Amino acid sequence: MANLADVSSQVSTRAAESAPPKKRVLSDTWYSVLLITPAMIFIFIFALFPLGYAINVSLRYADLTSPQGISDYVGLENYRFALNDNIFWASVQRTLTFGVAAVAIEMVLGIAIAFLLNEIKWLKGLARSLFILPLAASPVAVGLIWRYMYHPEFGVYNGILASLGLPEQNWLGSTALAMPSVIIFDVWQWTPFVALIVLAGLQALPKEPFEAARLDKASTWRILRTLTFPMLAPVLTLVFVLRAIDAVRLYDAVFSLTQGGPGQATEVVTYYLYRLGLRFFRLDQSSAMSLLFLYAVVVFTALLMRRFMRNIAERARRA
Amino acid sequence: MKTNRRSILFLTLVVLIVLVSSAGVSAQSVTINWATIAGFYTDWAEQVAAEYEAATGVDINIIGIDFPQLYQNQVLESVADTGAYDILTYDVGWKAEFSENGYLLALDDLVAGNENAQAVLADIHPALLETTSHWRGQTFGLPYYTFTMGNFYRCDLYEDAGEQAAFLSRYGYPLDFPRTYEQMADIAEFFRRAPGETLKGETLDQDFYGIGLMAGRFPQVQDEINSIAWSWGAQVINDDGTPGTLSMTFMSAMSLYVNDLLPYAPPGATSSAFDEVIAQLRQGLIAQTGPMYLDQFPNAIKTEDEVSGARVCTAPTPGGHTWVGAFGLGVSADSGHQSEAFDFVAWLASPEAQRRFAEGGGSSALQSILSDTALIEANPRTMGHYPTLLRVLDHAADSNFYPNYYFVPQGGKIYDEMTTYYSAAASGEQSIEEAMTNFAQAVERICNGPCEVANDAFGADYTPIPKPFPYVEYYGR
Repeated sequence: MANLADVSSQVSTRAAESAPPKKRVLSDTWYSVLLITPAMIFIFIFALFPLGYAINVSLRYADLTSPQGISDYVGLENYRFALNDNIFWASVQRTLTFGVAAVAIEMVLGIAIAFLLNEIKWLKGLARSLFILPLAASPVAVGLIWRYMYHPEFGVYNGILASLGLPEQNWLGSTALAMPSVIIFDVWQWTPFVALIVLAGLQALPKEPFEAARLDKASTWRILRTLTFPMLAPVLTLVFVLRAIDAVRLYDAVFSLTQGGPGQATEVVTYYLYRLGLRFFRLDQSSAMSLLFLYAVVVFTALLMRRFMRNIAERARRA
Repeated sequence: MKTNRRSILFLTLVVLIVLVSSAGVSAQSVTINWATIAGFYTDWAEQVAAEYEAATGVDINIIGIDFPQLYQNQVLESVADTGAYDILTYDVGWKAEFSENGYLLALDDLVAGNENAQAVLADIHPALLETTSHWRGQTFGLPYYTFTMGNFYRCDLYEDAGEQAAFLSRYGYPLDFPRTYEQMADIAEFFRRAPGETLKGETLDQDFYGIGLMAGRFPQVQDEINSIAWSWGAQVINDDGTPGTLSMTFMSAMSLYVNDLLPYAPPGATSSAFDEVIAQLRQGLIAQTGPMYLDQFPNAIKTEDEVSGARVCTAPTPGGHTWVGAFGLGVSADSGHQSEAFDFVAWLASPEAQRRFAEGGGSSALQSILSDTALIEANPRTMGHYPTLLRVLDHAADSNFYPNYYFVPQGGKIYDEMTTYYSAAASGEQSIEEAMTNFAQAVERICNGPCEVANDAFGADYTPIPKPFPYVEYYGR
């Protein structure tokens, strides 16, 4: 045994001597830091620096068209103004109305369409391609086309209503209909997004649990309730969060369809901030409002994503 | 191998020579960057600019920007002193702001050394010179395109014997283009017809409306409503800088617009801009426009091709006081080529370029072109509105009446707020009183109290009372 141990020791010594000299390599930590550095630089330049700048401006007096330009610190004065600005809060209310209505309709329709597409046997590829078209189109360009489609005298929608003997509508010129018209446009543009993501989720679901459920003669409703939707929950949460964030950032559709009108009936937060910041050049007030709005969106997203992220972390741990 | 090396050396030498020579060329040539409105307003200028380039060797780079973005792009570049634009294009409402904030260069010294520019300035209509060029006694730009307002109407309808008799019997005075806004409202009411009713003796198969209005949230609704208010003696901004929209006169003007004109306009009026009103005219849907930009004549006249038996005429707006102004061209204070930029501006405003512009359908700012009867007769479809346009401008100059908000340094922002609150009142989103109160508060917020009104027209001969339009001397087109 002793001989064997000596031989083994000699072999390992020789092996160590004959091996090439060990190079100094980066530790895992430094290697990770190296990999994420470019991304962090990018994020710093394009996200954190502007954010810091916005915070700085929001604490100063900053009217670009005044002789003072960006000048003295005024403390929380701009935040006080924002919290007392009725126009801002009215625009927040409109944004929420739009967001809730548009995202709810898009989710329901999108999920329904995804289920339909999942079931069809033929022309699935063509249907998917057609669904991508509204997503690929520029919102401003199609918004202008929709503006004419909505036109009470020349528009196609009133043409259809008239041919059906129904009363024609003042789609974008009525304070009652303008916001629903913007919502319809958004639903047309973004429902395909929901449908395609949910369809991808549906197609990725494992088949075995569903086959087992069918063998157990579970009803369709029960399969949906206990299998499909729980398994789709991460996808649905993600698509809901993405749509909700996008909906509260609504700008293009309002710009091309109504310019916030009639009156202020469709003036949502981003359009008001655009006017305040880039028409009136009050960067201080618009920055303060933007940051308040950003804070609200981040909190909302964090609450929604908490469970989703927890699930992902759980799965990662199990893996 | 040797051959290859020689070839590479030779090619390198050629590339270097090309680069050096092109650098030399670019260092010698001057490029003038002109920020302006994309589309018709400058399409004509492409060709004349090319001729200017050929004649002078100065490159003109026309940067077309959509009108809604034009203001902000120019302000941002000017605030940042980038010098990105050598020539700025501005609306009348922005003149005071651009001049006061130092975005525009005062041109007086450059004019003094340029005989052509002096001749152009003498030729520009005095009303446009006052509204578009002057600020605190100095000249900051030259108008090159006027979109002063007038009234388009279907004279074939107004001249129809049956319609005339019916109108006279209903209203007690003859049917003609309106001299007052009350008459405009009467005409609007009179011509509102439902399907099945007759128009010019023919049975209608669709709705026909008495008036077309641009009451949407676009920067035109205020020009319509202000025209009524100005003709009645009200101002958006009073002489003391306080908002004038809370006066009874102003609110009455707004009330006439909302209650006596809008009900007879197509339902889409509350989402319409100027182009939709012209489309309504061309589709034979309306009898008249409200106050409308006369530069739209080349489009409006197409009604005669598209609606059987239609004739389109022009008239001054009722009362004669209306939106008078133009797009102005000024030299950016940040420009590295101020002299060359001014030379181009002066050339663009010259009779030679303006004649080309007018023939192409533009509305010139020069008296010599506006009153050139031979030119007008030779171009009836592009210049048929010139006699009316000239009368409206003459009336503005004669009465020395220039709205105060043209002379407020925050004019561009006030103009933007007008769009919002006038549209709110027109659409019924807010009551007239509520909308005008909100607008007044917005103005006070913008100006931090009463606005400064640096109206050059103030003086011994200034009167805020509108001068009646001399209709007895004017009988329309």
